[in-house]
Amino acid sequence: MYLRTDAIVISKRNFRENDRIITFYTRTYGKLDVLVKGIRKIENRFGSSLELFTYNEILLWEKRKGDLLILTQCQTKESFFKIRSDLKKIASAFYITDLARELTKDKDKNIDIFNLLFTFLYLLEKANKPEIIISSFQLRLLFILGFGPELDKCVNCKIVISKNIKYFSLQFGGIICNNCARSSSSNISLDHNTVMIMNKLIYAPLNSIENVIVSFVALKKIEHLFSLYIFYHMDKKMKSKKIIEKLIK
Amino acid sequence: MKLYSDSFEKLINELSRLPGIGPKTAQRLAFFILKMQKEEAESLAFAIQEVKNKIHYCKVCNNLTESDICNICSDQNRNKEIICVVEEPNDLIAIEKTRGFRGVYHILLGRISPMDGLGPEDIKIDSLVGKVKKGGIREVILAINPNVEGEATALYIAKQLKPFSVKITRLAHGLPMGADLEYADEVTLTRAMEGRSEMFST
Ligand SMILES: [Zn+2]
Ligand SMILES: [Zn+2]
Repeated sequence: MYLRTDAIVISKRNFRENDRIITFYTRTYGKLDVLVKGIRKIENRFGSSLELFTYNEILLWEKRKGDLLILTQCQTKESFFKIRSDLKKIASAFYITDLARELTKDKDKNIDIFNLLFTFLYLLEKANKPEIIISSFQLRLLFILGFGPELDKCVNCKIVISKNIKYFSLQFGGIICNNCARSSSSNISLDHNTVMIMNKLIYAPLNSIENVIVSFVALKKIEHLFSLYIFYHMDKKMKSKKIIEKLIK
Repeated sequence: MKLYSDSFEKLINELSRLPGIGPKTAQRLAFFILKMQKEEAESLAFAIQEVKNKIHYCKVCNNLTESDICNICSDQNRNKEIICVVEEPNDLIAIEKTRGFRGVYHILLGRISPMDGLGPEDIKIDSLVGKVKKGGIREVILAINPNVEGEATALYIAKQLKPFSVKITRLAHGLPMGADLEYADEVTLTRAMEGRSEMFST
């Protein structure tokens, strides 16, 4: 059976002598591993259209249900090649595609993730502050995946905390009032200001994410919270994170 | 139930670690080795040992060599002021085959690829920066593969070398010989246009 869909290259690895397995995030089928034959020969017909981050229309062949999919046609619609001339942007794109790879399941269709990925690669291409773009991406991704933290009221008793925010409970997955904090085992300190910034990063219109005012310290705090959070709730650790920080520095 | 004896199974397992060798091929190779003359098989085993015992990385450029310093680095006729940076020893061989380059090399032994856990410290960038810092280098040519990981590697190296007064260049990317303009993708075409060269230049 042939499958046709739009797809973003989020990962690739060599396979056998001349082949490669590309991981796409597709519009119609979610994350997919696809075998590309002969891609490592210099005269291969796919050219650079299957580079990381490219957005393609692809045609796949599935011999029998469950077989490894084989790429038969590929047409690049957007190569995002401006990302590639800037180290910070490449590193940021590495990070968001790696998040999409690590935090999603195979063949689990989610058009919101596809759109998020596409939109944020587009934003990165034009970005002046890639670090804000990726911070916003990771928070938005959590919400799409159904793991969004509670950032409006106490996650336990639902009381509105307003300016008195002191803690974020990893266990309950949100900000927590001082009262409830006593019965939560995994609190990390988080101030009102940082929570406001997180909300802005999540809800700001796409064309003004970079206008959100975020200090370096606040960005670090959000990063740290995010790492702990995905480890606690999704059992995930971003191995590429340390390397990406070195590239962005 | 066990299909093979321990030693035969072990051979199959070892062979299947080789790139491009699946369990079936490994099994076929193992049978082939089993049927070989004893001397032939021993000579194969010996060749593997020799390669591991004798060949190591050149202390200067990380090329493969049987002495401390490789043929290229110890060649008096090569221009030590120009360093060509490549990812792997195979890339050096490819450039040497052109016979057009008379400088020396620096082999990174990899590329930056965060998804594979490879960062700047996992490849030989520090020693390159050290060489340039010491002085006497006029030009560093980045002959790194033109893919995203290669771009990241090249940009990172360029950033590290920027403080030193050294010319940093990179290979022109363009259309491969025999390619069809009509089928070339946008990135290749853009790069080819940027890297165009003058005809009849004096
Ligand atoms: Zn409460
Ligand atoms: Zn050498």
